[in-house]
Amino acid sequence: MGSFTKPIVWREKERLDDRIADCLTIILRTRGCRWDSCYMCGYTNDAYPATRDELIQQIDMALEEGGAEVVKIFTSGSFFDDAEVPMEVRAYLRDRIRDMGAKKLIVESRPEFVEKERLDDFKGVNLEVGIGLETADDEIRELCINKGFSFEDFVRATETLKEMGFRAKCYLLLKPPFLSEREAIEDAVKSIKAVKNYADVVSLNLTNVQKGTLVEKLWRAKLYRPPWLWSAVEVLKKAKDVGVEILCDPVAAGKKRGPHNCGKCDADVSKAIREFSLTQDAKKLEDIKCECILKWGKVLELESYSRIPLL
Amino acid sequence: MFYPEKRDGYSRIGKIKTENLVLNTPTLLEFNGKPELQVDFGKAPYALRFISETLYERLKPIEKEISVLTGLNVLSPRQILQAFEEKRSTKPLYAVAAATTSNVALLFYLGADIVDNILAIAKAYSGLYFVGDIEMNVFKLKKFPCSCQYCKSRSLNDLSRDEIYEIAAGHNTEMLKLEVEKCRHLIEREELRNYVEAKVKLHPEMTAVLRVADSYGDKKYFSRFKKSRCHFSAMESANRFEVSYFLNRALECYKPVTDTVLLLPCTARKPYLTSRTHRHIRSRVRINVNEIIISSPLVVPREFELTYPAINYDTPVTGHWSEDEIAFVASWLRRFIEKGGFRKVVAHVEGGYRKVVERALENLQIEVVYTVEDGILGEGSMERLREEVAGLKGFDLYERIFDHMLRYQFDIEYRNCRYSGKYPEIEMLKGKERVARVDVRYGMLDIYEKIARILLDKGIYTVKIADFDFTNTIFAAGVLEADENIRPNDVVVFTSNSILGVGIAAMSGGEMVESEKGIAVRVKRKYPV
Repeated sequence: MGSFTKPIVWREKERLDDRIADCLTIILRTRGCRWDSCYMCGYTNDAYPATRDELIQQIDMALEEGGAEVVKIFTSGSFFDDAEVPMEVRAYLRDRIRDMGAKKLIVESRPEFVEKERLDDFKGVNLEVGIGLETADDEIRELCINKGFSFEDFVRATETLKEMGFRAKCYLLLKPPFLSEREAIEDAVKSIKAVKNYADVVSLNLTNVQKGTLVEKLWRAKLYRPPWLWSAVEVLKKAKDVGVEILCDPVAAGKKRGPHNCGKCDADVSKAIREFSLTQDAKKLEDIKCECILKWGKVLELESYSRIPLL
Repeated sequence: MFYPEKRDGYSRIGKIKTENLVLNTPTLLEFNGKPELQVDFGKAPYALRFISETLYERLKPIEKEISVLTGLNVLSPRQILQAFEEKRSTKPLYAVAAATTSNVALLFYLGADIVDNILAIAKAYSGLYFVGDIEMNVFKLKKFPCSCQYCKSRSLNDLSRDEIYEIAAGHNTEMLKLEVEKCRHLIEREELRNYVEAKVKLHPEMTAVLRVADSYGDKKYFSRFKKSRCHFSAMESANRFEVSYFLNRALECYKPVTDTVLLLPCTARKPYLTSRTHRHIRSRVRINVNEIIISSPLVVPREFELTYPAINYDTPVTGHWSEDEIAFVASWLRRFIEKGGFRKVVAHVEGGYRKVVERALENLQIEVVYTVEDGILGEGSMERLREEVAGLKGFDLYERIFDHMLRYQFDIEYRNCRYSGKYPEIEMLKGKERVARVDVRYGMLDIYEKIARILLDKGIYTVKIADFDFTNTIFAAGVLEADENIRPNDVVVFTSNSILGVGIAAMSGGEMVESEKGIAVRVKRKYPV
């Protein structure tokens, strides 16, 4: 992973006011998420207890090249947690972004840190805050994810964001552990409908198997399989019917630890998903075909009973 | 609601009744659309228990009427046994998504009452087609080599992949159905163990499961007496409950009376005394000494030759004894000889049998003579045998047999009787009243009023029931108390305020009390109190 004091930076495309724009994506090395108990999350593997000065250094390094309309910052935790990213560091970042003329800043945070006082500093910035709700179902979030907050907490955070003129992005998790493939799809679709009125945009995250997590233990014991890409396609199509803007970046697609189909079609299907994500054009999801969809159909039928992956 | 009707070891036969459905167990649930039985599968598979017990407790199914085992196929043999041991109860046990044609007999043997065709379908959609116990790649076929309703005269060339999967799924289910039917029949005949021993050889993993099963748990559901023939064909045969129970219990109950013991080889025909060889020897030599018959894996004092499984077994005979067999049998023979306190051993044996005797007597200070000179039945051998056992005082073999069988079965002594009947259908009488008779089908004693009252007084093999009318069966619902030592197929005494009777247990004593439903005892005869 390189030096722990260097941020990871790459360029990609993002949506900005219904068009596609250049985005500078930065993973800041912070001490990591304070909660650090979700069954699927291994992000704290990459944590580093960076000091205030080190964080400012990281920001300088990341923004050196500049020249992007959108800047996206991941901290593997909560951007608004002072323990992770101190207030002065946030203010410094805000100034740098302004100076480089970026039009949109995207960060992420658990809802308990989304508070008016912490957001005040960003007044006037086109800010989007991603919150990992994962599912709208409190029971699933509690039992299958161990997220430690409720739908109500999420709603409160989105209202705060709205009051201040910021955008709320909602992360939903496709296939938490202990849900069958079908239950996972149903849960995601239900969740999309439930968050429609609170989130400006939804990001569908396909579970991948991260190191040191419960999900990894289950996966090694053959009790868990990451979602089929067909399931993601299904959810995205349904989301379009619901009428939300929904993004999906199938991380590690086609790999054993990532969302995958049969191996033959993974590249094509994940490409279609990415294209859809940028264009929001449901047609991109219609032309993909592979005979493994028959197996997936049986998986939907049977795995709610078997409670373990079959195919 | 579950109504168990019969038990053979961990396996059962019974009925599951719901408002609109009766299923005969063991049964196959079919998943073509929704299953016909409503089951809560929970969120987490049972297998999670081995990763996190607390999480499993939070995410497990509500097992109100049916116990559910999910994720069995990812477990190790020891974990599989632990799983069955933990879930075994008066409720029917459902092994979910685990059954194939090759392992379903083992699942039933371990105590599953319900299986399903989920794996059969999943395998079909992975391109696997059941041919008996074997799984074939369906795409290597030109025609389906089967005439079930799905396969009949279909050629693969004309079919889409979707159709091929569907046919294979239907076919695999049919094959599985047949196997389930076969197993139900085998449980009915108390023969599942023979079949399972053969079946597990298809896969080392299954053999491992059976071996672990043999060394696991308390075996309180296993019968001492069965109507089926024991096939001692595998290495695992010697580990059967009935073998270890027989050897241990026979040794415990063995009380020979002569100073000399005659050792004889076993015979194909059972009981041994009805064989040509043993009859011939007895017709030429008056045998008035205790005898022990050497077999594999059994060692059988004559007194126990009508006791199960000595009365009903088969063992592959080649004349060659493996080192394991010699060691196993010799160690038991030595124990019987020591227990008997014999001063002299007359060994009328040759070949491998002689090796067993030599090994058994190693470093024992006992006189031994080998009497076979020109074959077991040769004139010279008969002469030698006559010399060695001559002049010994006679004893009543039938009396010895009943004496030992009563001790073995009920731990009681009852003497001063008359004995009659044509061997092996012999009986024991007090005056004109029949006291007990040998039930040659099960290799045990059937008892009558006198013995029944003794058992009742001692409170052993006794089932206390409520006052109600019944004819042929006593249901678990009517049982108030039952001796915990009762095993399925045991002869038991039942009693209420108004009736006393003899019957055969259909379940263990513990289950008679715990179960709300099902058959506890099959009635043989009743007496007024």
